[in-house]
Amino acid sequence: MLHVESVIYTYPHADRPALEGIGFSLHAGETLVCTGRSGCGKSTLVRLVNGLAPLYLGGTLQGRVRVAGQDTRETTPAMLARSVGTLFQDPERQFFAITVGDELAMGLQWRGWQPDRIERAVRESAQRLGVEDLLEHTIFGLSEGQKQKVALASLLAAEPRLLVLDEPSANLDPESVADLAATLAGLKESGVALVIVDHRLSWLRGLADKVLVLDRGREVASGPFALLDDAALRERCGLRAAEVADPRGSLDESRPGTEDGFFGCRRLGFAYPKGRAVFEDTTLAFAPGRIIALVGENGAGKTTLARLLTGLERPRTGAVIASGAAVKPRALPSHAQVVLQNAGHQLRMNSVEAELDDALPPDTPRDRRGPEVQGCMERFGIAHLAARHPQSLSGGEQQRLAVACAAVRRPRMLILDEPTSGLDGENMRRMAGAMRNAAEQGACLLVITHDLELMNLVCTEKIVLRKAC
Amino acid sequence: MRASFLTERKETFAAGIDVRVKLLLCFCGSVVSIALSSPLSLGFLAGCSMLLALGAARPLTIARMYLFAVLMLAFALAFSGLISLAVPGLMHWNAFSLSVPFLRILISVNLLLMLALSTPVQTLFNRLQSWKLPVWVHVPLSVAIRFVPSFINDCAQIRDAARLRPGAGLRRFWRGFAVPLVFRMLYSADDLAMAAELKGVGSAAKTRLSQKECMTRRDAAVAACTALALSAAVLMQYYGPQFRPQPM
Repeated sequence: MLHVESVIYTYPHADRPALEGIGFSLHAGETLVCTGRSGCGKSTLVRLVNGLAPLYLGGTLQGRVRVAGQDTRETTPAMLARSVGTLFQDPERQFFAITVGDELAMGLQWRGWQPDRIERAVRESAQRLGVEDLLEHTIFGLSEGQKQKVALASLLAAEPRLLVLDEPSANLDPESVADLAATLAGLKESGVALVIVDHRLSWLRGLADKVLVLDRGREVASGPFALLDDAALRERCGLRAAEVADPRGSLDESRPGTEDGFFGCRRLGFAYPKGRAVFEDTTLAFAPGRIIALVGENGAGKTTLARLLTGLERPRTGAVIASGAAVKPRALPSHAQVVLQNAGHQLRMNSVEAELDDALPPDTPRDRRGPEVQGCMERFGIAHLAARHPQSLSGGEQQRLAVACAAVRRPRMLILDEPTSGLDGENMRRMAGAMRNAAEQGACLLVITHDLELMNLVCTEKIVLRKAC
Repeated sequence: MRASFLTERKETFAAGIDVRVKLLLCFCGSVVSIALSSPLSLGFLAGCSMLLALGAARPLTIARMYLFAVLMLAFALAFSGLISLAVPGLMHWNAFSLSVPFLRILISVNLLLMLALSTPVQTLFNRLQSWKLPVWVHVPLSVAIRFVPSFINDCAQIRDAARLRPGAGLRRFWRGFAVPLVFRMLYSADDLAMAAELKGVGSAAKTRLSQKECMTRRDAAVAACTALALSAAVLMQYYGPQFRPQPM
């Protein structure tokens, strides 16, 4: 199904190969898991398999990649897409239609399928991923987890022979990850070959036939999944744990803050226009120094709560409280900061150093600004990037910078929306350290995350949100 | 049961108009707005096209796009003012003459919004393809129109990010909004191109129209109103109050 032979691939204008000396074969019904620290070449491997490299992206390819018997140098990505389905790391990037139903149907139309066959395939695929209720929704209103399910459903509708998944678990709650694993196991049984690129490894234990560990574009190790049980290898390659316990059951429910009026919300009510109520009469009180996991199934309203607490949405009823008094939404950013999932949107200066300087509160004395910025860069492990343009950073680096910018303002409440999605083990542990540091300095951290490993490392309490009926 | 997920959505007035009528409207509106030069005629057409745009999206969405049009006008006014100050022999600054291109832009923006916010992209593909337009015309055209909702969505996300780190004045607009937006637009264009490639857009298979689409009374009424509005605008140009072109 997939043959990668002694591949050396170099991007246009790059001075060294992104992948070097990679070779493996994958047969129908087999699963290959590729992992490694950020920037090791995993996404490049995805682009080589789906044909975007070299025909679409350019660059030079030595060696050969054959998918279902077709050489990727001679077959356009559009033609290869009839055999290969690709799930992007950020699923929003692959949407082309505006509604979920249209998105699922679109690729099938371009194959010339009959309308009744399209409808059948769309319904079956939507049911398989549990998104049948979303078929009429616009793609812009979906949560990140829902987007991932929709993207996968659109691929499955086209009945691919090879499925390439780039960090498929990054935005899914653990239950959805288990569902995904079951779906993929079913596909595997039906003869679909799978290439899965992911930092999170524990969910892949029963699924992977082969594991490929990359570092700086080269193969470091390959073999069965059991090789990831080697702690030294994981440490050396910046990998995450191969086995993760679910801490959600053992975390205590968040206790109301003891410091009266530190930060919270009182009788909060909210609903989107023409939508169901997301919150009704919700009261929460937070205390300094805590790191609270905000958990709940995809679409339960976790991001909406973050937006309400930081003034990005106006509550219909109730208020957000700081220092014991209700605060108007416009004034909330000086009390609470949120780092949203698209961290790149929050970066606007010419260099990392300037970005942090811009993020400092305006009343910071001039002689304190330099040391504050330097200290923050060191805490978040981005000091070596000081002169880099923020938009030129990798996704993980942008995420760390965005969190650093929010933390440097020293808000009472720091809300992080999936801060470790797409981070390798090394950077995830670094982020956890920075979060502890922010809590020690007196902030309360509310972490929206499905990352059980992060929860194990830093969270001491939880708030569970459930979908309103 | 629906025949396909690729049928038009009917929740707004504009969504219920046949895509052929919408495309015709865009084409005729653009041609006439280029041919006309009277601010009165163009203002009248801008008003009519605004009604169509309001039939496709919430007023707030339209208002956001208008903000851009106004900013573009402000930039044009400012730079032409600077040129007239620096090189007086080259041009005389007058806001009135700039109103004509501005109104033309406004008409185009209204018509594009009406089309982009009320038409599923696949319907547009199918229709343009059925007119035997070459791939290099209908694919880029559809992708460009698909870009509009993405652009509006990006604007909303960047506005949220800017609100979290407030600044002041022009710097706030430039650093908090314009810079991230430029980067995001470049990324979005690249993403959409890759998504189209992997979906097989423009590949050899001929797509099938999901159902035979018939014109409705609404389509006939919109087409008739458009013809009347365009005729009225042309008559205003020749028989209405005359505006002497101002020297630039």
